Amino acid sequence: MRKIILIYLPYANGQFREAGLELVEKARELTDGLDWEIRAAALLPGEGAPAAPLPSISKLYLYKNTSIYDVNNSAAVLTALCEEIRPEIFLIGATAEGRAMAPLIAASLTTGLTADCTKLYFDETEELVQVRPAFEETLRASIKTRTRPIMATARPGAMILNESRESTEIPELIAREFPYINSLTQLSVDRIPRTGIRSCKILVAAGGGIQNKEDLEPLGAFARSLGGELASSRKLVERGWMPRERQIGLSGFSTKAELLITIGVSGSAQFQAGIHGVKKLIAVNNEDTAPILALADYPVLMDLNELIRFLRKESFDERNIQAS
Amino acid sequence: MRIAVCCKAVPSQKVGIDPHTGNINRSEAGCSVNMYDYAAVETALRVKDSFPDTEILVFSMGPEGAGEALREILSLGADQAFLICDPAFRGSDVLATSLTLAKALTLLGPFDLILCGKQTSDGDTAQVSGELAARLKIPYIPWVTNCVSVSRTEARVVSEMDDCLVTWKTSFPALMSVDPRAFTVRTASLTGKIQSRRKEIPLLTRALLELPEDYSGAGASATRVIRGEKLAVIKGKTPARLTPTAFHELALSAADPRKAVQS
Repeated sequence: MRKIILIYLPYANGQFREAGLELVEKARELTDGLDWEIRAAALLPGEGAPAAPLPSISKLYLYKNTSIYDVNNSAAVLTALCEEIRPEIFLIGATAEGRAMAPLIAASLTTGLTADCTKLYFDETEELVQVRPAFEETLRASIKTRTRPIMATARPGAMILNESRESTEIPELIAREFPYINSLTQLSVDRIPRTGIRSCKILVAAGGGIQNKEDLEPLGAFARSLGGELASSRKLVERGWMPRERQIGLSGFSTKAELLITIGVSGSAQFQAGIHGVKKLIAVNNEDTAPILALADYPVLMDLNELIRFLRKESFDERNIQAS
Repeated sequence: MRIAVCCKAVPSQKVGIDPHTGNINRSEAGCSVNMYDYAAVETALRVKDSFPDTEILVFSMGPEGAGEALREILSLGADQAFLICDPAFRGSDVLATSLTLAKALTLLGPFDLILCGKQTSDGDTAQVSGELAARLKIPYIPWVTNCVSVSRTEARVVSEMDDCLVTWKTSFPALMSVDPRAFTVRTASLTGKIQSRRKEIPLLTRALLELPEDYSGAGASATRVIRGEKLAVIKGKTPARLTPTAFHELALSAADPRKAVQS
Protein backbone atom coordinates (compact mmCIF):
# COMPACT_ATOMS: atom_id res chain seq x y z
CA MET A 1 0.00 0.00 0.00
CA ARG A 2 1.21 3.49 -0.82
CA LYS A 3 2.08 5.81 2.04
CA ILE A 4 -0.35 8.69 2.51
CA ILE A 5 0.21 12.37 3.23
CA LEU A 6 -3.00 13.82 4.65
CA ILE A 7 -3.51 17.58 4.51
CA TYR A 8 -6.11 19.57 6.39
CA LEU A 9 -7.62 22.29 4.21
CA PRO A 10 -9.03 25.17 6.25
CA TYR A 11 -12.06 26.68 4.55
CA ALA A 12 -13.49 30.18 4.81
CA ASN A 13 -15.93 32.29 2.80
CA GLY A 14 -16.44 29.81 0.01
CA GLN A 15 -12.82 28.89 -0.56
CA PHE A 16 -9.87 26.99 0.81
CA ARG A 17 -7.39 29.13 2.67
CA GLU A 18 -3.89 29.73 1.35
CA ALA A 19 -2.41 27.96 4.40
CA GLY A 20 -3.80 24.61 3.26
CA LEU A 21 -3.17 25.05 -0.46
CA GLU A 22 0.48 25.82 0.21
CA LEU A 23 0.82 22.50 1.99
CA VAL A 24 -0.73 20.68 -0.99
CA GLU A 25 1.95 22.32 -3.09
CA LYS A 26 4.61 21.29 -0.57
CA ALA A 27 3.38 17.70 -0.45
CA ARG A 28 3.49 17.51 -4.24
CA GLU A 29 7.04 18.82 -4.20
CA LEU A 30 8.06 16.28 -1.52
CA THR A 31 6.59 13.27 -3.30
CA ASP A 32 7.50 14.25 -6.85
CA GLY A 33 8.67 11.07 -8.58
CA LEU A 34 8.03 8.96 -5.45
CA ASP A 35 5.29 6.43 -4.83
CA TRP A 36 3.15 8.37 -2.34
CA GLU A 37 -0.51 9.37 -2.24
CA ILE A 38 -1.80 12.80 -1.17
CA ARG A 39 -5.24 13.10 0.37
CA ALA A 40 -6.97 16.08 1.94
CA ALA A 41 -9.78 16.76 4.39
CA ALA A 42 -11.97 19.81 4.89
CA LEU A 43 -14.79 20.79 7.22
CA LEU A 44 -17.51 22.79 5.52
CA PRO A 45 -20.25 24.77 7.24
CA GLY A 46 -22.90 24.11 4.57
CA GLU A 47 -23.70 21.90 1.63
CA GLY A 48 -21.53 21.56 -1.41
CA ALA A 49 -17.84 21.93 -2.03
CA PRO A 50 -15.64 24.43 -3.77
CA ALA A 51 -15.10 23.27 -7.33
CA ALA A 52 -11.50 24.46 -7.50
CA PRO A 53 -9.12 21.92 -8.94
CA LEU A 54 -6.70 20.50 -6.42
CA PRO A 55 -3.62 19.19 -8.17
CA SER A 56 -2.18 15.88 -7.04
CA ILE A 57 -4.84 15.09 -4.45
CA SER A 58 -6.37 11.67 -4.98
CA LYS A 59 -9.16 11.87 -2.41
CA LEU A 60 -10.81 14.81 -0.68
CA TYR A 61 -12.86 14.09 2.44
CA LEU A 62 -15.59 16.65 3.00
CA TYR A 63 -17.19 16.78 6.42
CA LYS A 64 -20.35 18.74 6.93
CA ASN A 65 -19.72 20.62 10.14
CA THR A 66 -22.19 22.66 12.10
CA SER A 67 -19.74 24.36 14.42
CA ILE A 68 -16.72 25.37 12.39
CA TYR A 69 -15.15 27.32 15.25
CA ASP A 70 -15.20 24.58 17.88
CA VAL A 71 -11.76 23.02 17.52
CA ASN A 72 -12.69 20.23 19.95
CA ASN A 73 -15.21 19.01 17.43
CA SER A 74 -12.96 19.48 14.38
CA ALA A 75 -10.14 17.64 16.15
CA ALA A 76 -12.44 14.68 16.91
CA VAL A 77 -13.41 14.47 13.23
CA LEU A 78 -9.80 14.49 12.02
CA THR A 79 -8.60 12.11 14.73
CA ALA A 80 -11.19 9.59 13.56
CA LEU A 81 -10.10 10.04 9.95
CA CYS A 82 -6.45 9.43 10.87
CA GLU A 83 -7.41 6.27 12.72
CA GLU A 84 -9.26 5.11 9.65
CA ILE A 85 -6.80 5.84 6.84
CA ARG A 86 -3.55 5.79 8.88
CA PRO A 87 -1.54 8.46 7.06
CA GLU A 88 2.24 8.46 7.33
CA ILE A 89 2.26 12.26 7.51
CA PHE A 90 -0.47 14.72 8.53
CA LEU A 91 0.12 18.40 7.67
CA ILE A 92 -1.97 21.24 9.05
CA GLY A 93 -1.78 24.92 8.11
CA ALA A 94 -0.84 27.01 11.14
CA THR A 95 -3.87 29.28 11.12
CA ALA A 96 -5.37 30.12 14.52
CA GLU A 97 -7.71 27.17 13.97
CA GLY A 98 -4.96 24.80 12.82
CA ARG A 99 -2.66 25.74 15.67
CA ALA A 100 -5.44 25.01 18.15
CA MET A 101 -6.64 21.72 16.69
CA ALA A 102 -3.28 20.12 15.85
CA PRO A 103 -2.25 19.50 19.50
CA LEU A 104 -5.69 18.05 20.30
CA ILE A 105 -5.29 15.54 17.46
CA ALA A 106 -1.64 14.74 18.22
CA ALA A 107 -2.35 13.98 21.88
CA SER A 108 -5.39 11.87 20.98
CA LEU A 109 -3.27 9.84 18.54
CA THR A 110 -0.27 9.87 20.94
CA THR A 111 2.01 11.11 18.22
CA GLY A 112 4.65 13.80 17.78
CA LEU A 113 3.83 17.28 16.52
CA THR A 114 6.17 19.97 15.24
CA ALA A 115 4.86 23.52 15.18
CA ASP A 116 5.45 26.22 12.59
CA CYS A 117 7.83 24.44 10.25
CA THR A 118 9.68 26.64 7.80
CA LYS A 119 11.10 23.74 5.81
CA LEU A 120 10.04 20.14 5.20
CA TYR A 121 12.14 17.62 3.31
CA PHE A 122 12.69 13.89 2.92
CA ASP A 123 15.95 12.31 3.97
CA GLU A 124 17.46 9.51 1.89
CA THR A 125 14.98 6.97 3.34
CA GLU A 126 11.93 9.16 2.57
CA GLU A 127 11.57 10.04 6.23
CA LEU A 128 10.28 13.55 6.87
CA VAL A 129 12.67 16.10 8.39
CA GLN A 130 10.95 19.14 9.91
CA VAL A 131 12.87 22.37 10.31
CA ARG A 132 11.69 25.16 12.58
CA PRO A 133 13.20 28.20 14.26
CA ALA A 134 13.78 27.49 17.91
CA PHE A 135 14.42 29.43 21.03
CA GLU A 136 13.70 32.90 19.92
CA GLU A 137 16.92 34.16 18.49
CA THR A 138 19.32 32.47 16.18
CA LEU A 139 18.81 28.74 16.52
CA ARG A 140 17.19 26.45 14.00
CA ALA A 141 16.23 22.87 14.81
CA SER A 142 15.84 19.89 12.47
CA ILE A 143 13.37 17.42 13.91
CA LYS A 144 12.38 13.82 13.22
CA THR A 145 9.34 12.03 14.60
CA ARG A 146 9.38 8.38 15.63
CA THR A 147 5.61 7.94 15.95
CA ARG A 148 2.99 7.92 13.17
CA PRO A 149 1.47 9.94 11.76
CA ILE A 150 4.24 12.52 11.70
CA MET A 151 2.32 15.72 12.41
CA ALA A 152 3.50 19.20 11.52
CA THR A 153 2.03 22.66 11.13
CA ALA A 154 3.36 25.43 8.88
CA ARG A 155 2.52 29.11 8.87
CA PRO A 156 1.04 30.50 5.70
CA GLY A 157 3.82 32.07 3.66
CA ALA A 158 6.60 30.73 5.88
CA MET A 159 7.85 28.10 3.45
CA ILE A 160 9.69 28.72 0.23
CA LEU A 161 7.76 26.99 -2.56
CA ASN A 162 8.57 26.26 -6.16
CA GLU A 163 6.33 27.74 -8.84
CA SER A 164 3.03 25.90 -8.76
CA ARG A 165 2.17 23.74 -11.73
CA GLU A 166 -0.98 24.39 -13.72
CA SER A 167 -3.49 21.65 -13.21
CA THR A 168 -7.10 20.80 -13.80
CA GLU A 169 -7.12 17.53 -11.86
CA ILE A 170 -10.16 17.14 -9.65
CA PRO A 171 -9.91 14.78 -6.70
CA GLU A 172 -12.43 12.11 -5.83
CA LEU A 173 -14.87 13.71 -3.37
CA ILE A 174 -15.91 11.71 -0.34
CA ALA A 175 -18.78 13.31 1.59
CA ARG A 176 -18.92 12.45 5.27
CA GLU A 177 -21.15 13.09 8.24
CA PHE A 178 -19.80 13.33 11.74
CA PRO A 179 -21.88 13.59 14.91
CA TYR A 180 -21.28 16.97 16.56
CA ILE A 181 -19.72 16.61 19.97
CA ASN A 182 -21.21 19.38 22.03
CA SER A 183 -18.47 20.54 24.36
CA LEU A 184 -18.83 24.31 24.14
CA THR A 185 -21.77 26.63 23.54
CA GLN A 186 -21.18 29.27 20.89
CA LEU A 187 -22.84 32.54 21.90
CA SER A 188 -21.72 34.92 19.14
CA VAL A 189 -19.28 35.47 16.28
CA ASP A 190 -17.92 38.92 15.40
CA ARG A 191 -15.80 39.60 12.33
CA ILE A 192 -12.44 41.25 12.96
CA PRO A 193 -11.83 44.20 10.66
CA ARG A 194 -8.39 43.64 9.14
CA THR A 195 -5.81 46.34 8.72
CA GLY A 196 -4.45 46.30 5.19
CA ILE A 197 -0.92 45.85 6.47
CA ARG A 198 -0.58 42.26 5.33
CA SER A 199 -0.91 43.26 1.70
CA CYS A 200 1.02 46.55 1.99
CA LYS A 201 3.60 47.07 -0.78
CA ILE A 202 5.99 49.13 1.36
CA LEU A 203 6.71 48.40 5.01
CA VAL A 204 9.02 49.89 7.59
CA ALA A 205 9.60 47.46 10.47
CA ALA A 206 10.85 48.68 13.85
CA GLY A 207 12.74 46.23 16.05
CA GLY A 208 14.23 45.75 19.49
CA GLY A 209 16.99 48.26 18.74
CA ILE A 210 14.44 51.05 19.18
CA GLN A 211 14.94 52.34 22.69
CA ASN A 212 11.89 54.52 23.34
CA LYS A 213 8.24 54.08 22.52
CA GLU A 214 8.10 57.72 21.37
CA ASP A 215 10.63 56.91 18.63
CA LEU A 216 7.94 54.93 16.83
CA GLU A 217 6.16 58.16 15.97
CA PRO A 218 8.79 59.53 13.55
CA LEU A 219 9.23 56.01 12.16
CA GLY A 220 5.50 55.81 11.47
CA ALA A 221 5.58 59.20 9.73
CA PHE A 222 8.61 58.06 7.72
CA ALA A 223 6.78 54.88 6.65
CA ARG A 224 3.72 56.84 5.54
CA SER A 225 5.90 59.37 3.68
CA LEU A 226 7.12 56.45 1.55
CA GLY A 227 3.53 55.37 0.92
CA GLY A 228 3.85 52.51 3.37
CA GLU A 229 2.96 51.42 6.89
CA LEU A 230 4.84 50.81 10.12
CA ALA A 231 5.23 47.17 11.17
CA SER A 232 7.38 45.62 13.87
CA SER A 233 9.29 42.62 15.12
CA ARG A 234 8.04 40.51 18.02
CA LYS A 235 10.14 42.31 20.63
CA LEU A 236 8.20 45.56 20.37
CA VAL A 237 4.88 43.71 20.53
CA GLU A 238 6.03 41.97 23.70
CA ARG A 239 7.03 45.34 25.16
CA GLY A 240 3.48 46.46 24.43
CA TRP A 241 4.66 49.23 22.09
CA MET A 242 3.18 47.85 18.88
CA PRO A 243 -0.14 46.07 18.25
CA ARG A 244 0.06 42.37 17.47
CA GLU A 245 -1.57 42.66 14.06
CA ARG A 246 1.46 44.66 12.90
CA GLN A 247 3.97 41.97 13.84
CA ILE A 248 6.03 40.41 11.06
CA GLY A 249 7.40 36.90 11.59
CA LEU A 250 6.48 33.38 12.48
CA SER A 251 4.05 34.36 15.22
CA GLY A 252 2.94 37.42 13.26
CA PHE A 253 2.28 37.67 9.54
CA SER A 254 4.30 36.95 6.40
CA THR A 255 4.83 39.79 3.99
CA LYS A 256 5.48 39.85 0.27
CA ALA A 257 6.18 43.58 0.24
CA GLU A 258 7.98 45.20 -2.69
CA LEU A 259 10.13 47.05 -0.16
CA LEU A 260 10.84 46.32 3.49
CA ILE A 261 13.01 48.65 5.52
CA THR A 262 13.94 47.28 8.93
CA ILE A 263 15.13 49.67 11.61
CA GLY A 264 16.88 48.08 14.58
CA VAL A 265 15.58 44.57 13.77
CA SER A 266 18.24 41.95 14.54
CA GLY A 267 16.64 39.32 12.28
CA SER A 268 15.88 36.32 14.48
CA ALA A 269 14.92 33.03 12.85
CA GLN A 270 11.32 33.75 13.76
CA PHE A 271 11.43 37.18 12.05
CA GLN A 272 13.17 35.76 8.98
CA ALA A 273 10.35 33.23 8.52
CA GLY A 274 8.01 36.12 7.73
CA ILE A 275 10.07 37.87 5.05
CA HIS A 276 10.88 35.20 2.42
CA GLY A 277 8.58 36.90 -0.06
CA VAL A 278 10.02 40.43 0.29
CA LYS A 279 11.34 41.78 -3.02
CA LYS A 280 13.78 44.40 -1.72
CA LEU A 281 15.18 44.60 1.81
CA ILE A 282 16.97 47.56 3.34
CA ALA A 283 18.20 46.71 6.82
CA VAL A 284 19.42 49.39 9.19
CA ASN A 285 21.21 48.41 12.37
CA ASN A 286 23.83 49.77 14.71
CA GLU A 287 25.52 46.41 15.22
CA ASP A 288 27.31 44.76 12.34
CA THR A 289 26.66 41.29 13.84
CA ALA A 290 22.87 41.51 13.30
CA PRO A 291 21.90 38.50 11.11
CA ILE A 292 19.47 40.64 9.12
CA LEU A 293 22.36 42.54 7.54
CA ALA A 294 23.53 39.37 5.77
CA LEU A 295 20.12 38.98 4.14
CA ALA A 296 19.63 42.54 3.05
CA ASP A 297 19.93 43.90 -0.46
CA TYR A 298 21.10 47.09 1.22
CA PRO A 299 22.68 46.48 4.63
CA VAL A 300 23.18 49.79 6.41
CA LEU A 301 25.15 50.51 9.56
CA MET A 302 24.00 53.61 11.36
CA ASP A 303 23.54 55.05 14.82
CA LEU A 304 19.80 54.51 15.35
CA ASN A 305 19.48 57.48 17.70
CA GLU A 306 20.98 59.71 15.06
CA LEU A 307 18.50 58.36 12.52
CA ILE A 308 15.55 58.98 14.85
CA ARG A 309 16.73 62.55 15.48
CA PHE A 310 16.99 63.09 11.73
CA LEU A 311 13.53 61.67 11.06
CA ARG A 312 12.05 63.81 13.82
CA LYS A 313 13.50 66.93 12.23
CA GLU A 314 12.26 66.07 8.74
CA SER A 315 8.71 67.23 8.46
CA PHE A 316 7.18 64.73 6.10
CA ASP A 317 4.47 66.11 3.94
CA GLU A 318 2.29 63.09 3.50
CA ARG A 319 -0.01 64.83 1.03
CA ASN A 320 2.72 64.94 -1.59
CA ILE A 321 3.17 61.24 -1.52
CA GLN A 322 1.32 59.05 -3.94
CA ALA A 323 1.22 55.43 -2.95
CA SER A 324 1.73 53.45 -6.11
CA MET B 1 -13.44 26.67 43.15
CA ARG B 2 -10.13 25.10 42.34
CA ILE B 3 -7.96 26.53 39.56
CA ALA B 4 -4.71 25.16 38.18
CA VAL B 5 -2.36 27.54 36.37
CA CYS B 6 0.38 25.98 34.25
CA CYS B 7 3.48 28.10 33.89
CA LYS B 8 6.90 27.73 32.41
CA ALA B 9 10.14 29.11 33.70
CA VAL B 10 12.10 30.18 30.65
CA PRO B 11 15.81 30.84 30.35
CA SER B 12 16.36 34.52 30.95
CA GLN B 13 19.85 34.71 29.52
CA LYS B 14 21.54 33.52 26.41
CA VAL B 15 21.34 29.79 25.95
CA GLY B 16 23.58 27.25 24.35
CA ILE B 17 22.93 23.96 22.59
CA ASP B 18 24.28 20.76 24.03
CA PRO B 19 26.61 19.49 21.30
CA HIS B 20 25.85 15.84 22.17
CA THR B 21 22.08 15.82 22.37
CA GLY B 22 21.18 18.81 20.21
CA ASN B 23 18.86 19.91 23.01
CA ILE B 24 18.85 23.34 24.55
CA ASN B 25 21.12 23.60 27.56
CA ARG B 26 18.96 25.02 30.31
CA SER B 27 21.33 24.49 33.20
CA GLU B 28 23.52 27.47 32.26
CA ALA B 29 20.81 30.06 32.26
CA GLY B 30 18.83 31.82 34.96
CA CYS B 31 15.04 31.45 34.81
CA SER B 32 12.10 33.78 34.86
CA VAL B 33 8.37 33.23 34.37
CA ASN B 34 7.39 33.06 30.69
CA MET B 35 5.83 36.47 30.06
CA TYR B 36 2.85 34.93 28.24
CA ASP B 37 1.82 33.13 31.43
CA TYR B 38 1.05 36.26 33.44
CA ALA B 39 -2.34 36.72 31.73
CA ALA B 40 -3.33 33.20 32.84
CA VAL B 41 -2.16 34.01 36.38
CA GLU B 42 -4.17 37.24 36.42
CA THR B 43 -7.28 35.45 35.14
CA ALA B 44 -7.05 33.06 38.10
CA LEU B 45 -6.45 35.92 40.55
CA ARG B 46 -9.54 37.76 39.31
CA VAL B 47 -11.70 34.71 39.89
CA LYS B 48 -10.27 34.56 43.40
CA ASP B 49 -11.12 38.28 43.86
CA SER B 50 -14.77 37.39 43.14
CA PHE B 51 -14.79 34.09 45.01
CA PRO B 52 -12.25 34.36 47.86
CA ASP B 53 -12.52 30.68 48.72
CA THR B 54 -10.94 29.87 45.32
CA GLU B 55 -7.78 27.86 45.56
CA ILE B 56 -5.07 28.57 42.95
CA LEU B 57 -2.42 25.93 42.38
CA VAL B 58 0.50 26.64 40.08
CA PHE B 59 2.29 23.88 38.17
CA SER B 60 5.53 24.13 36.33
CA MET B 61 7.80 21.54 34.78
CA GLY B 62 11.47 22.35 34.68
CA PRO B 63 14.89 22.09 36.32
CA GLU B 64 15.29 22.73 40.06
CA GLY B 65 16.29 26.36 39.53
CA ALA B 66 12.85 27.03 38.06
CA GLY B 67 11.26 26.90 41.52
CA GLU B 68 12.42 30.39 42.43
CA ALA B 69 10.73 31.86 39.37
CA LEU B 70 7.41 30.43 40.63
CA ARG B 71 7.79 32.36 43.89
CA GLU B 72 6.84 35.49 41.98
CA ILE B 73 3.45 33.97 41.18
CA LEU B 74 2.96 33.03 44.83
CA SER B 75 3.70 36.64 45.82
CA LEU B 76 0.86 37.76 43.52
CA GLY B 77 -1.66 35.65 45.43
CA ALA B 78 -1.52 32.02 44.22
CA ASP B 79 -1.93 29.55 47.08
CA GLN B 80 0.56 26.87 46.25
CA ALA B 81 3.15 26.13 43.60
CA PHE B 82 4.55 22.77 42.52
CA LEU B 83 7.65 22.12 40.49
CA ILE B 84 7.44 18.97 38.38
CA CYS B 85 11.09 18.08 38.38
CA ASP B 86 13.12 14.94 37.90
CA PRO B 87 16.24 14.12 35.90
CA ALA B 88 14.07 11.53 34.14
CA PHE B 89 11.91 14.32 32.67
CA ARG B 90 14.81 15.88 30.80
CA GLY B 91 14.39 16.12 27.05
CA SER B 92 10.57 15.93 27.13
CA ASP B 93 8.84 17.10 23.96
CA VAL B 94 5.26 18.37 23.85
CA LEU B 95 3.81 14.86 23.99
CA ALA B 96 5.85 13.80 27.03
CA THR B 97 5.38 17.17 28.74
CA SER B 98 1.60 17.09 28.37
CA LEU B 99 1.52 13.55 29.69
CA THR B 100 3.55 14.44 32.76
CA LEU B 101 1.56 17.62 33.44
CA ALA B 102 -1.71 15.71 33.03
CA LYS B 103 -0.54 13.17 35.58
CA ALA B 104 0.31 15.89 38.13
CA LEU B 105 -2.99 17.69 37.57
CA THR B 106 -4.95 14.46 37.94
CA LEU B 107 -3.12 13.60 41.14
CA LEU B 108 -3.74 17.01 42.74
CA GLY B 109 -7.10 17.62 41.08
CA PRO B 110 -9.88 17.79 40.32
CA PHE B 111 -9.87 21.38 39.04
CA ASP B 112 -12.76 23.45 37.73
CA LEU B 113 -10.56 25.53 35.49
CA ILE B 114 -7.10 24.97 34.07
CA LEU B 115 -5.34 28.03 32.67
CA CYS B 116 -2.27 28.21 30.45
CA GLY B 117 -0.46 31.08 28.74
CA LYS B 118 -0.90 31.34 25.00
CA GLN B 119 2.64 30.22 24.24
CA THR B 120 6.13 30.40 25.65
CA SER B 121 8.74 32.91 24.70
CA ASP B 122 11.41 30.24 24.18
CA GLY B 123 9.82 27.22 22.49
CA ASP B 124 7.07 29.31 20.95
CA THR B 125 5.01 26.29 19.88
CA ALA B 126 1.73 27.05 21.72
CA GLN B 127 1.01 23.32 21.75
CA VAL B 128 1.22 22.16 25.36
CA SER B 129 -2.14 23.62 26.41
CA GLY B 130 -4.04 21.82 23.65
CA GLU B 131 -2.32 18.50 24.23
CA LEU B 132 -2.97 18.82 27.96
CA ALA B 133 -6.69 19.40 27.35
CA ALA B 134 -6.84 16.33 25.10
CA ARG B 135 -5.01 14.23 27.71
CA LEU B 136 -7.41 15.34 30.43
CA LYS B 137 -10.35 14.90 28.02
CA ILE B 138 -11.83 18.29 28.87
CA PRO B 139 -13.01 21.07 26.51
CA TYR B 140 -10.29 23.35 25.17
CA ILE B 141 -10.76 27.04 24.47
CA PRO B 142 -7.77 28.47 22.63
CA TRP B 143 -6.51 32.06 22.29
CA VAL B 144 -8.74 33.69 24.91
CA THR B 145 -8.43 37.45 24.53
CA ASN B 146 -11.24 38.43 26.86
CA CYS B 147 -12.63 36.75 29.94
CA VAL B 148 -16.16 38.14 30.06
CA SER B 149 -17.44 36.44 33.21
CA VAL B 150 -16.72 33.51 35.45
CA SER B 151 -19.27 32.10 37.86
CA ARG B 152 -18.93 29.06 40.10
CA THR B 153 -20.30 26.82 37.39
CA GLU B 154 -19.47 28.36 34.02
CA ALA B 155 -17.33 30.86 32.14
CA ARG B 156 -17.99 33.16 29.20
CA VAL B 157 -14.89 34.00 27.21
CA VAL B 158 -13.90 35.42 23.84
CA SER B 159 -11.55 33.43 21.66
CA GLU B 160 -9.72 35.00 18.73
CA MET B 161 -9.82 32.81 15.64
CA ASP B 162 -8.52 33.63 12.15
CA ASP B 163 -10.91 36.36 11.13
CA CYS B 164 -13.41 36.55 13.94
CA LEU B 165 -13.92 36.75 17.67
CA VAL B 166 -16.02 33.87 18.99
CA THR B 167 -17.78 34.16 22.34
CA TRP B 168 -18.09 30.82 24.11
CA LYS B 169 -19.92 29.60 27.15
CA THR B 170 -18.41 26.60 28.85
CA SER B 171 -19.22 24.62 31.92
CA PHE B 172 -16.42 23.22 34.10
CA PRO B 173 -14.00 21.58 33.92
CA ALA B 174 -12.41 23.39 30.98
CA LEU B 175 -8.95 24.41 29.87
CA MET B 176 -8.14 27.80 28.36
CA SER B 177 -5.05 29.27 26.79
CA VAL B 178 -5.05 32.95 27.64
CA ASP B 179 -3.67 35.65 25.34
CA PRO B 180 -1.65 38.48 26.95
CA ARG B 181 -4.27 40.95 25.73
CA ALA B 182 -6.84 39.49 28.15
CA PHE B 183 -5.28 40.98 31.27
CA THR B 184 -2.21 42.82 32.48
CA VAL B 185 -0.92 41.24 35.65
CA ARG B 186 -1.12 43.09 38.97
CA THR B 187 1.94 43.95 41.05
CA ALA B 188 2.71 42.01 44.18
CA SER B 189 2.01 43.58 47.56
CA LEU B 190 4.73 43.67 50.21
CA THR B 191 2.72 41.19 52.32
CA GLY B 192 2.41 38.95 49.29
CA LYS B 193 6.15 39.03 48.76
CA ILE B 194 6.92 38.25 52.40
CA GLN B 195 4.39 35.42 52.53
CA SER B 196 5.71 33.90 49.33
CA ARG B 197 9.19 33.62 50.87
CA ARG B 198 7.85 31.35 53.60
CA LYS B 199 6.13 28.97 51.24
CA GLU B 200 7.61 25.64 50.30
CA ILE B 201 7.58 24.78 46.62
CA PRO B 202 7.31 20.99 46.67
CA LEU B 203 9.00 18.98 43.97
CA LEU B 204 6.83 16.48 42.14
CA THR B 205 9.26 13.78 41.11
CA ARG B 206 8.72 10.81 38.84
CA ALA B 207 8.32 8.58 41.88
CA LEU B 208 5.75 10.88 43.51
CA LEU B 209 3.77 11.05 40.28
CA GLU B 210 3.94 7.25 40.09
CA LEU B 211 5.17 7.42 36.51
CA PRO B 212 6.90 4.37 35.06
CA GLU B 213 10.48 4.98 34.02
CA ASP B 214 9.88 5.11 30.27
CA TYR B 215 6.81 7.30 30.64
CA SER B 216 8.44 10.71 30.41
CA GLY B 217 11.55 12.52 29.30
CA ALA B 218 13.49 11.97 26.10
CA GLY B 219 12.59 8.26 25.99
CA ALA B 220 8.86 9.00 25.87
CA SER B 221 9.19 11.85 23.40
CA ALA B 222 7.92 11.35 19.88
CA THR B 223 10.03 14.08 18.34
CA ARG B 224 13.77 14.31 18.41
CA VAL B 225 16.00 17.21 17.49
CA ILE B 226 18.48 15.64 15.10
CA ARG B 227 20.33 18.87 14.56
CA GLY B 228 20.38 22.28 16.16
CA GLU B 229 22.25 24.92 14.31
CA LYS B 230 23.02 28.55 14.61
CA LEU B 231 21.55 30.53 11.77
CA ALA B 232 24.16 30.38 9.07
CA VAL B 233 25.95 33.67 8.81
CA ILE B 234 26.03 33.94 5.07
CA LYS B 235 28.42 36.67 4.28
CA GLY B 236 26.23 39.08 2.40
CA LYS B 237 27.12 42.47 1.10
CA THR B 238 29.35 44.53 3.32
CA PRO B 239 27.13 46.93 5.24
CA ALA B 240 27.45 50.53 4.18
CA ARG B 241 27.89 53.25 6.76
CA LEU B 242 25.42 55.91 5.74
CA THR B 243 24.46 59.30 7.07
CA PRO B 244 20.75 59.74 7.80
CA THR B 245 20.43 61.95 4.71
CA ALA B 246 22.03 59.34 2.46
CA PHE B 247 19.82 56.64 3.98
CA HIS B 248 16.75 58.76 3.38
CA GLU B 249 17.67 59.15 -0.28
CA LEU B 250 18.20 55.39 -0.59
CA ALA B 251 14.79 54.73 0.99
CA LEU B 252 13.08 57.24 -1.31
CA SER B 253 14.60 55.81 -4.47
CA ALA B 254 13.78 52.25 -3.40
CA ALA B 255 10.19 53.20 -2.63
CA ASP B 256 9.70 55.08 -5.87
CA PRO B 257 12.35 54.53 -8.53
CA ARG B 258 10.83 57.23 -10.78
CA LYS B 259 11.53 59.86 -8.19
CA ALA B 260 15.16 58.79 -8.04
CA VAL B 261 15.52 59.22 -11.80
CA GLN B 262 14.08 62.73 -11.65
CA SER B 263 16.36 63.88 -8.86
